[in-house]
Amino acid sequence: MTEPLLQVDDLVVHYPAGRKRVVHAVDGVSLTVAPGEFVALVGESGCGKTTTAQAIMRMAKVTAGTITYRGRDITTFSQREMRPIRHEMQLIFQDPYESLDPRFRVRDTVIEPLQIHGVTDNREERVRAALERAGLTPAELYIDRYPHELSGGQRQRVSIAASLVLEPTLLLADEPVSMLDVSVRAGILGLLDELRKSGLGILMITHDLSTAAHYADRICVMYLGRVVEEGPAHEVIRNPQHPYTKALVSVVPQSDPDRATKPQILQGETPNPVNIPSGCRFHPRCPVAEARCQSEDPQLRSVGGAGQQAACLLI
Amino acid sequence: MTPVLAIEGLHVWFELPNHKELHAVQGISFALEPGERLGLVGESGCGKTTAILAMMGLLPPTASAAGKIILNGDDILAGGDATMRPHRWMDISMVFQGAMNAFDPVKTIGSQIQEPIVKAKLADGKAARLRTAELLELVGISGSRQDRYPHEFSGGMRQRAAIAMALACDPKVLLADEPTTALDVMVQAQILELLVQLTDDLGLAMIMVTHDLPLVSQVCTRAAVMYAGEIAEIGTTHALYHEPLHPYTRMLFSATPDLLAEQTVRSIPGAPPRLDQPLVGCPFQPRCDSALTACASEAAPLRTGTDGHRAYCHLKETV
Amino acid sequence: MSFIDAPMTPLDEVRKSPSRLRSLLSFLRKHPQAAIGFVILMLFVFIAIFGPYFAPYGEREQVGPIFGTPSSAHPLGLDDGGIDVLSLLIYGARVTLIVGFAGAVVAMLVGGSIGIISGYFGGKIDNAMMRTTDYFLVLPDLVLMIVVASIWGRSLRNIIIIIGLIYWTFMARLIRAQVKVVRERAYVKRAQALGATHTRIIFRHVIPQIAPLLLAQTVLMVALAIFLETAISFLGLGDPSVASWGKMIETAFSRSAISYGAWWAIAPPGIAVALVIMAFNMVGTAAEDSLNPRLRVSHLARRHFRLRPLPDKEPPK
Repeated sequence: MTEPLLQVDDLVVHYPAGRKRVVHAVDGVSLTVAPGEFVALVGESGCGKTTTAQAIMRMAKVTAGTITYRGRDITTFSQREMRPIRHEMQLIFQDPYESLDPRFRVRDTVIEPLQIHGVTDNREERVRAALERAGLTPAELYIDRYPHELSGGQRQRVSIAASLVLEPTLLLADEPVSMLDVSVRAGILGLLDELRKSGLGILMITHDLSTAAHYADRICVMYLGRVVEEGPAHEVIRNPQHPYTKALVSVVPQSDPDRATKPQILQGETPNPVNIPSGCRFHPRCPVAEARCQSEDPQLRSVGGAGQQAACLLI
Repeated sequence: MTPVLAIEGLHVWFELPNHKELHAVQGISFALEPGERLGLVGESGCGKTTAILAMMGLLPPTASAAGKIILNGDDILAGGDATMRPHRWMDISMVFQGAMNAFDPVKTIGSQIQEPIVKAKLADGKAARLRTAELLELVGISGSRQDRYPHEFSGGMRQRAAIAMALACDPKVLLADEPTTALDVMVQAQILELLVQLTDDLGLAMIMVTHDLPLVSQVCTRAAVMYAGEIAEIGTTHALYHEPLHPYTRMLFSATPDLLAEQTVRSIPGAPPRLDQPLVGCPFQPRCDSALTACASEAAPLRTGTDGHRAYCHLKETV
Repeated sequence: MSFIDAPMTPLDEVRKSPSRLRSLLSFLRKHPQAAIGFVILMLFVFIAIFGPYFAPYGEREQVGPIFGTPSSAHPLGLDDGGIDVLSLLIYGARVTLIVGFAGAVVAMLVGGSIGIISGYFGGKIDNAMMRTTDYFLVLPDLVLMIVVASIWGRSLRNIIIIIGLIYWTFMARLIRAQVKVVRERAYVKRAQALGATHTRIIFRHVIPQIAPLLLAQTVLMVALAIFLETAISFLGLGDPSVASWGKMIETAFSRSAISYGAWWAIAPPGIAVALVIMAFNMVGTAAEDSLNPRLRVSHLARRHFRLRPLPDKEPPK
């Protein structure tokens, strides 16, 4: 059993929000990413998925819990201690239009990580190799361009190349394709899949269940700071156990207009992470909640037979 | 049934700084029946937003338009802004992209919804307040909340309020530009359910502009797929999915991951053509996986299927 | 699941941006006043640099009676010491422009540094610096000028310092606001995520982004600095040994040029100052306009789209 690349245990990230109020952005999240594994962190806005990624990258302060990278506990690492880790753990941003410095040519953007980490040998070759690995072939065409001369998909590939140039082992991708056209998305996601096959671990944050269903090996569904269900992608989508997952899966539009759907539309919206409901945090919106759901807080436990886990009292 | 809205040969051009012109909409035509939900699908730059802005007469001064916009039998485009303005919001109205963020933060939601009512002299004072409360209830918000400010509403509720505002003067046609794009999937489901209910209950005709094909499959009965300023294919959503006449439609579905279907997902290579230069042949030809030699030089002819299903493509057999 | 990765767009789809020269030409076409202002400025700069070599008379050379009237030999007449006004104007150009530039540069350097540090780091550092800025803003300019001049004497160097002291706060606030915006951009966060040092981010990402606007505002600031220098000299707080335009006006005033009717001793330097300030303003506002898209208001004009006849090609689709 290979050691997981990334292991997050009971991560808690709380922010103060004025007099005595606390934003419970992340309230006890555990997940793992193994080498060559594609994990999708799925949820609606306010569920804490972006904050989880930021905490893993140590760009947000961790209130409690542990983050283990390749066996080392990096939870309390200072910025200096994180530097060598940052070499191996890269983040891809959502907005291809904002994530490249408009004054930097493609070469400058891709070479910067090498400069920051003091890699001096063969810089030009490394840059070209990274660009080609990201699908920008031949590299000459793109290397001297400015971002505004490139399309959204090309810019995102430049971002990915800049992440690949340091030869990372773990990629965190925050909504990598949500701002791209449909016809371009498959190319970028396919690229991520190729990278996964070559041994990188990928943690993708997305609100799009269909994308997660197609590309991820495992899906973690988050709600209000907790993971409410997690397991193999195939199982979570076709055999959801948690009522929230069931509702979510039922309302995702499908391409075939004739496919009969019985959407379970939940009322209201995700509550503010400042006021977490008592007991099971989903109970106010849960279509099958019972009395005890108001007082007991369920933990993640194994359900079904295929490595799935869900946090619900009623399974 | 006579269509409530018929578009015939609509063109829109934009002046560009270097004395060139961008031909954003290149002669589109379709008809919309009362109570119908039509999807206008396409990727960025295909002209879908420009087309519906033209239907509202909300084009900027650098734009020029040609063609016919026939609303209830009258060509309202014929006199330019002068003939379009009287119908704006009264007979045809719009929910803009990002409407939920376009509310004036220092005015109450109620006062903003009342604005078109009062401006159109439909009601005043207390009657306007009553009407506003009714509109809010119609979209699922308690009428007593009309005195709240936008920041007190969540994103989904603001989108509902935007829909209420669009319905203020009881229009026959509602244009919705990416109404659920910035919303979570659950809130999206709520808004879509609301739009379906409104069109069914009020006999409202709706055009929904979106880049999201599955959304159109779920909510609309018919859809038009736009590419490079033209309608590549138009038909029922069933026909578009099961028997597409245009390769772009088929390839667009293939490029969209579906939740449960296990098909191979393929991206479409290349990029849409520039619209500031005249196009020769079929605009999709450089990216088409079934292109014939004729496609590069000759404009694509009309292909028809059953029940008003049509496309512009050289191919004869099923795509 | 298998995926087919699409080949990238071919070379001709990646569009090159216009060359620097073409961008400059199109800028000048849109802002003709910038061209005019620039020409005027260059004229004065030329006079400032080379003028003294071909000024007709010396700076302290008495060539005629007190407040001699303008004549063919002295087109702008003579001042209270019988010195040719035109020559003085030429010599004064050098001083005025140098002091103006230097003062603006001092304000830009001090204000810019504080603005960048404040805007980038935020938090307590930001608060401390902004409080300091507030204290300086509250100081009355005139009192400051008098105090500096009386304690440290009247010299060119002190004028430059005064200008710097008065204007740095303005710069600091402007720069801070812009730095705060740039700081939140995704590419800055990416650089942080990569582990870049603050120095690197500031010098390679923040400063290049704000540099153009910073330059445009410095240009505008030179105009203010020149005006301030003129005012300082006019109040008699300037360097008594050097002829600047402000000093010319001051001397003329204190030596009763008005009761002599000697308009030629007062008007030319005043007009020169006005021209130079106007020229800097024209260039500066045009630059700021084109760099700051939020200043554009043309979209608020009430005009409508036009109608056209249908193109007579194929039948409508």
